[in-house]
Amino acid sequence: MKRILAVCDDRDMLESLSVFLKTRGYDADIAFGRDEAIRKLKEKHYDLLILDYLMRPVNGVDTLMDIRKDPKISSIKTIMATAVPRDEIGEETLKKLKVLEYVQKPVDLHEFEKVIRKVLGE
Amino acid sequence: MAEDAYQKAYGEIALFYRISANAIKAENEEQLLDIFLHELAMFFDAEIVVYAERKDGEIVPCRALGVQTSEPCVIKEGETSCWKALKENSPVIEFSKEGNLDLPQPIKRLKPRAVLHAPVTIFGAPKAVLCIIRLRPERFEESDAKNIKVIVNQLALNIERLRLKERTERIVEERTAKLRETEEALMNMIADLNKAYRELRTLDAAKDEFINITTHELKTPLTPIKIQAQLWLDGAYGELNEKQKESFRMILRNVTRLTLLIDDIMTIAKLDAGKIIFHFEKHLIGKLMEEVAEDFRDVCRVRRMSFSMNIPDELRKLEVEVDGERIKQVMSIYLDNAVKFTPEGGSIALSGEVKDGFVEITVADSGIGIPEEAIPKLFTRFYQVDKTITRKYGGTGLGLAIAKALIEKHGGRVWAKSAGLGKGSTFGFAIPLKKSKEGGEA
Repeated sequence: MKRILAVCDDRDMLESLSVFLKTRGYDADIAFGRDEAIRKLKEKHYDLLILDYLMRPVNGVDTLMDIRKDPKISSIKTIMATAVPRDEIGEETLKKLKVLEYVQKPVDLHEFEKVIRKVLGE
Repeated sequence: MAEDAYQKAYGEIALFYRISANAIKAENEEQLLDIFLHELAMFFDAEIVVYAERKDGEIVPCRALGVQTSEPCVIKEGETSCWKALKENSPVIEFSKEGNLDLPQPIKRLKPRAVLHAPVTIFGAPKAVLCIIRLRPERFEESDAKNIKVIVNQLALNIERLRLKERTERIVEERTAKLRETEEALMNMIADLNKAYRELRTLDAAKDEFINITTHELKTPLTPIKIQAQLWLDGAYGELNEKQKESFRMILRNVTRLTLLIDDIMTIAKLDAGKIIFHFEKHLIGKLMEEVAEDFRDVCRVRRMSFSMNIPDELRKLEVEVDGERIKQVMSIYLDNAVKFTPEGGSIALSGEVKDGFVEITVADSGIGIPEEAIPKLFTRFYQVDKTITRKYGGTGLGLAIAKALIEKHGGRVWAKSAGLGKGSTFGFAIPLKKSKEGGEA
């Protein structure tokens, strides 16, 4: 069973994502912000990271920068799911941080499932 | 005798020279008068010299040598020799062996025996008088009267010079003060304007930031709502009956509607703030039309409408410098509206043509049409022909306003036509084949 870590600072969002991922047959885990995400990534192996951008106090881009700097966890496959339009973050940043897919919230679950399966190579 | 005359002439020339040389150095009338009074006292061997000016029917002393003029020393207008000199504008000589000359009391007290009154013409009018007084009994001669004329002219010229200088200085000072005032007011105005501009910039940035945050923050809670509704519909929490399913579908529909509204508000706010970045590149217009049509063919099939497209050959090969995504967005807004307002069985046509240096794209439908009076308002924000239509057909009322703004950024224009209610409508836009400078910048 593929293991996915969802990172966001909104508890309802995390719980909803967790239920969704479990119904689709994944082992879903959640992290409430950067610190918890990095800690969990170091503890266990994950196949995919679903990361929000608008998080406080550390946003998704800065969180991902820190993850990419740490060789132990830097290779994690990442999807960014956020309410912020893609062009506000910028293609260059997304490319540099190796963001494989960008999903605009509010997400459509069927579309989202397709994106997840594509990234996981299923 | 000849030597006397020579001595006298030499004395006169020396006096004129000294007076001319010194008078020019005087910086004010007091200094000037002191120079003259001293020289005149010496030259005429006089004990008293007074310079007095005519003011409102009186002759009032201004500067005096050899007498105190602190007590009233004025000469009222009348038959005195002093007034005579002024009125006739000519020197007057008087002599009194007994020292009984008609002069003001402070002088009279000293028993003056001889006097020479010489009028001073300032700016063309006899306005002052020089009174040279001897206490000893020695008359003034006609030659003295002649000499005094030359000296008085020198004095008058210098008084005129000083007054003109003073007047000029005063004018310069006043003008400088006024200029300084104006400059100060201008600087204050500039400072105020700068302050207002900074405040506006801050406000504008705050507004942008507010819209940005608000729209993102509004979308954040929509995500779990949407996920949860979809999870229910997917049966993640158990099977639902049809009524329950419809309830969740309604939630989803309204989440979508709210999301679109937020997106549209965001687009409008960004357009207003000039924050939308346009990527102008050469595009085949026919290809852009094909791409948009692709999405709508299915929609029309589902809703049992006929969809046709008319792209003339010249348009298929035509490359125009546009932001391809934005042009497709405008076509989609038009096609969305056409689908929304055309009943089942109707028809929609997407056409293009090249006309007068412009590419014209139109979307025509056989739908519900537009009343004539509503047409001019269609492209204004939040305008809806009929509020019940919004409830029935959805929409944010911003789509056409966005379309207009996007096309105007291309240097183009938008329009709508309809033969009336129930008679379908046509929406169009035209963009120049050659991108104009002002149209190109976002």
